[in-house]
Amino acid sequence: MSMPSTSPPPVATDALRVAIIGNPNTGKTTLFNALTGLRQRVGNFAGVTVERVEGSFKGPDGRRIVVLDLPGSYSLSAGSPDEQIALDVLQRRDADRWRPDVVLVVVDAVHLERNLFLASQVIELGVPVVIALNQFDVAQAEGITIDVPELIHELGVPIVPTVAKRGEGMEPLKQALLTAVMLPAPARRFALPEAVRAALEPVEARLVSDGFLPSAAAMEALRVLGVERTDAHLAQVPGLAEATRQAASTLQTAGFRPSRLESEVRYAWIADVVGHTVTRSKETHASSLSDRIDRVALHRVGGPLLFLLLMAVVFQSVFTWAAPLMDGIEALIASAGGAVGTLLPEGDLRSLIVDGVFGGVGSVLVFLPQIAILFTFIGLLEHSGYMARAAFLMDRVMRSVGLHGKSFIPMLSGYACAVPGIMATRTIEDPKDRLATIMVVPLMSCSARLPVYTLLIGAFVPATALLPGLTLQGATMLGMYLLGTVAALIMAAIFKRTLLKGPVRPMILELPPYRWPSLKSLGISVYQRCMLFVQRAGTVILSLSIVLWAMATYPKTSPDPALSPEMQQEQQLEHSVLGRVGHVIEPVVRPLGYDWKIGVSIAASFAAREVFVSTMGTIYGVGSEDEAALTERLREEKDATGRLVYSPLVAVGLMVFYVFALMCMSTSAITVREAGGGAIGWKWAGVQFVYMLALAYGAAWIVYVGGQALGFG
Amino acid sequence: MSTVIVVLIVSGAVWYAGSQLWKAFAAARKPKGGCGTDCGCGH
Amino acid sequence: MTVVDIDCTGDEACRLRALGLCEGTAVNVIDARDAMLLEVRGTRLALGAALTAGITVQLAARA
Repeated sequence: MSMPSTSPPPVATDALRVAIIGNPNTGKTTLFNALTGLRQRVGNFAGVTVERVEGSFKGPDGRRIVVLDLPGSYSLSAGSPDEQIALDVLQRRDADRWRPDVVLVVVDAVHLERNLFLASQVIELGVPVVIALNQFDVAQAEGITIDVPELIHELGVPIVPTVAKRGEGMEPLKQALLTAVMLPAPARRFALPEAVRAALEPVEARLVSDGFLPSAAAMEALRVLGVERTDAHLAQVPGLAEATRQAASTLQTAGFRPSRLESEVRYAWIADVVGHTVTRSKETHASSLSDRIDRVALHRVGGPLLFLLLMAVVFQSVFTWAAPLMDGIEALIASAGGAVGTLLPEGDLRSLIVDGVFGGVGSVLVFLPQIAILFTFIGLLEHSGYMARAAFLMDRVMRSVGLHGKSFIPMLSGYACAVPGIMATRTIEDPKDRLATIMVVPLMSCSARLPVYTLLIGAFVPATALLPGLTLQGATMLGMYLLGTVAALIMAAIFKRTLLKGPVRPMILELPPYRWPSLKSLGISVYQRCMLFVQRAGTVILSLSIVLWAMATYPKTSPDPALSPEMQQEQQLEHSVLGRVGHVIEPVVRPLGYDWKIGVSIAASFAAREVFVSTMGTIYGVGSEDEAALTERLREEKDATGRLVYSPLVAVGLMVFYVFALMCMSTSAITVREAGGGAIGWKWAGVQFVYMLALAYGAAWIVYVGGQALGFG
Repeated sequence: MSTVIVVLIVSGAVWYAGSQLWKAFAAARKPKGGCGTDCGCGH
Repeated sequence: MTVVDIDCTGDEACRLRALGLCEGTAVNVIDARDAMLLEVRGTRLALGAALTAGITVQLAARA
């Protein structure tokens, strides 16, 4: 750090705060990544579900520069929670009181005209602005020449051409950010018609008296004119609503259309600026390659087919590629646990470390391969521009249940694992659609249900051939998957009509040109998703799995030494807190045809449904690895009166129970986080857990009672 | 000795899980800020 | 063709204008099925039928 010789300016010692804003698909996040690398912190803006990413880097003079990545916005019109947050931060009114020293506007050089709308709004806020003219290389390749000095002259702010994907222009950009604070604050670059200016004056006065900078007040006055409903954002400014109404009616009588005014004057100015700074050498369509791809990708028949093919590949690879990695992680953790275990004396401590701690950590880390693979694919689809097409194709189907086209990918991901599925709902802008999707994703049969299905089907469903290549066993499995899917769609429709009632927003979607994804950005986003999962879900799961271990271990009993080790284990389990819980809940599960042992298995698997199989193994005194022995044991199990405990009806009922029940700590933990964190998050996680449990119980009961009435079992 | 460690680890886990729950309930009592009535965040 | 009038809720009109689709903008219809694909200021927009129904355009006879 260079030492200033005399009277250092007070700000220079502090970190410089930079807020980054830009249209979606401008490479804003890539630029953010190019500047900050992995020095990023992901969180949420206070009180809302909008993701907040902050990073930092060292400037050329050694000063620390803190960068806040604001959500992608087309304007500051505050139409979505994302834009609302961006506006709050830029107007220095956000709940976190994060005050930017400089605003970096990322502008897509290829679509300068559209991008300048947001830029022109930001320039008027009176905060120093730097513009990154990103994708400069693409613009050049497409024959677009931009006269940068002239553009700087027109906009009155520093402009740096950049190619964020390759890290080009980063050093000049850093320098520009540092010097921008020294420049006079930018202001509006065009004059309003005199009548408009006069009509807006009282509105501006209100805003200035509420603490707005004069320049920001001018921008805000023009903006609120276009916002028809009372703007909750500024409801606390005294007299603003009244002044705005007054101005609108004055303008109306003067022959203006207040709601269009802002876009008219801005685009008129933009057309003028673009007119003498941009020249196009080719008259061809700029993104003709994109058009050619779209001719296939959006084809009425070919489009959906291609989409299904892509989804099949994604789904299949999440299943197949993750499996060896998951096995590897499990084996690694088990052997690590075993190794640590041999260092410890035989007893509770060893059991706690091996089963509780390592088992708990394992049950978290085992999901990482699926999350990493799924988010690599989602990242590829998103960064390449295909995701918008997929949402476009699926929009009509999803709309029929009241959801958005973008809800499809998370729901499909749910077949692999609800955790990445729920994390993937971030691409859905509408908060209600997003919540509704989060609520139903866990109904899609995930891979953790497979062991349960396999065990019960293998034991109780005969392998009768129905069709060539399809047995009754296979059909039952398929039925379970279909049951979950149909339930998810129905529940989504119900949520959208009740708790999450809201207007079905018509689709407004930009289809960005196809681009090669940036490997660095892809890597960072996958890494972030993995870390978020490990940090947020991991700590909770680990602590709960230790608690669960204690419940299954204490209070101790001295089992009959004459019994086999398995029987001793069973006795101990029955005596433990968990075993007692099983007995307590037996009356509850009785109507479903279950005994206390199934009750214990269900209780133990509340944290993770795959635990059901291993608990059954423990209870029936056979190792969970030995599935054939367990199957045999289940078929022969008799109750006190000598009746078989497991009729095929009980088994099917149990499977149906597991189709619907949300028995996965990881899912609940991630729902808490993704539904808004804190109290809101817990509330929704609670709603999700309870409705799914009710659905599970009800469906299992209907199967059991209905089946008996029909003479089965 | 090992019993002490078991007790420590288990009570640590109970404390952590409990504190997460407590935090949630404490947060539920406080009114939340940062979101207007009309900005579409679902509440 | 040119957009003459956008008749939808303030919120949606607001979003459309921010996306560059406002009164007086030249648009190209690339594809029209249930929803529409438009070219606006060099970008591609997909708009649902509920929205496009409220947008009035005028064929640009004088080019």
